[in-house]
Amino acid sequence: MAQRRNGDDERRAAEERALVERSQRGEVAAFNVLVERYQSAAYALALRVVGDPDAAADVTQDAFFSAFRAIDSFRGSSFRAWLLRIVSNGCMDHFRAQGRRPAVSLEATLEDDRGFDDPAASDYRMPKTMIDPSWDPEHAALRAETIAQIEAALLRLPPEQRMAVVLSDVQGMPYDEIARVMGTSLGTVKSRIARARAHLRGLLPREGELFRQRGRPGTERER
Amino acid sequence: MIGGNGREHADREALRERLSAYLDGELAPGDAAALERHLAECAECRDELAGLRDVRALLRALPQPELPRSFALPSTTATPAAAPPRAPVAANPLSSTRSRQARGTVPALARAAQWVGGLAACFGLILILATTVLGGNLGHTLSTAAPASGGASAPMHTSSAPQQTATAPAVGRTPGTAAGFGQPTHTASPAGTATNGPASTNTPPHATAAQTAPLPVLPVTGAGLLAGGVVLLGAGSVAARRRQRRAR
Repeated sequence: MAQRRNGDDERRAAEERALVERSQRGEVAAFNVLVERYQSAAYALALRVVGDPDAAADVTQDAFFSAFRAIDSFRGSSFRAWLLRIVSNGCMDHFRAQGRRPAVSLEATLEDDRGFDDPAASDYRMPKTMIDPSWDPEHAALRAETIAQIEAALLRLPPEQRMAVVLSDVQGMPYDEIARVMGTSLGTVKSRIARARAHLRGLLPREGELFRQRGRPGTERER
Repeated sequence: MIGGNGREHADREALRERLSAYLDGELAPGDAAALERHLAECAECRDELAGLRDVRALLRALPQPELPRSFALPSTTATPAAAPPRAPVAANPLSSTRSRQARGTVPALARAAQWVGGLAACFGLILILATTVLGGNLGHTLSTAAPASGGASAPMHTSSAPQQTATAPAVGRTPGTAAGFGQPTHTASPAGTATNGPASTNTPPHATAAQTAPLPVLPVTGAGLLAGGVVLLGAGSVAARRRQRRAR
């Protein structure tokens, strides 16, 4: 199974290289195949970071135009990471344009966290009966209300924490790729993700059912 | 938060960071093993880890938002080579703000070269016209000639060709300034080609009076300015075009 997946990955990678080369020669149609492939991820990132659907659509469209104009300078192996980096920069430009300066220093980020580092928050953990450890995130459904709560909580994070945790947990990106996308160091990425998760725990409701359950609570399993 | 192992819990931030990285498999193998040994003995840390895992699960469960529309580019989108020069922010999507500002100075220099070159060329042309075509009354002719020459020469040096061919016949008519015209003829010929015949009908009436040009040095200066201005304009345009083709 792992071998078959590698074969598919190789084929997809070769396809993508061909599409990039054609785009570099100016073929808009080839570039639009890449757009189709990655627009959901691009828009999802923009929306989760920026919050507003119209602004997210603008950021996404601008990112694709910028990517096409700059396609000559794409040298790496991951078009997705390169594209998401452009989207990420677009999100930061959006915040700057709005006059809201993203927290650029660790000190500033600390200040934002202070309100949520109270002892009550640190002792909080979700009761085990709420979350089935055998629950599969791919297939479980969240209630609309829960989705809204998570989205609202995300928007209360400082933009750079939000971006880091969205790239990691929503986009499934590894830390080193996130570091490249955000133009920062691995240590900063680790720190932002950890803070973001702790921050969110403090913001999300402590009672009530958050998930629709499947199966019986099983034993605690390490990743 | 003092557990059995005081050292582990001394810095809560660092601990949470280690647990979070461990959750994502981003701890070095040695560090991961050490943390696992600690977790085996520390319920508090196990709970903390569980809490981090739960939050991550919630985020992973977020459904992908519905795409509001297609973001495909219109087929008429200009290809990268043909695209007009963009503002520094858009032209360098990958660079940080600092390097973006640094790179922005080069196209700015190119643009400045174009402006300076264009203005110098205009001024040079004005001087030539004022001292040769329109006679010795320098002050009067400068004020009348400026708008006409400026308007014609501003867009591109090639479009000032008709003006330059008009001055060519004047060369032969004004021996006093003939020496100074070695240069302008040289620059005028590529742009103006051989139109001495028809252009001679455009000969301004004051050409013959220009032989009493007050300062022979003025046409030379004008010619120099024109030549220099054209060179700067050309260099600026080439630099600007190469900048945008190599869009990084």
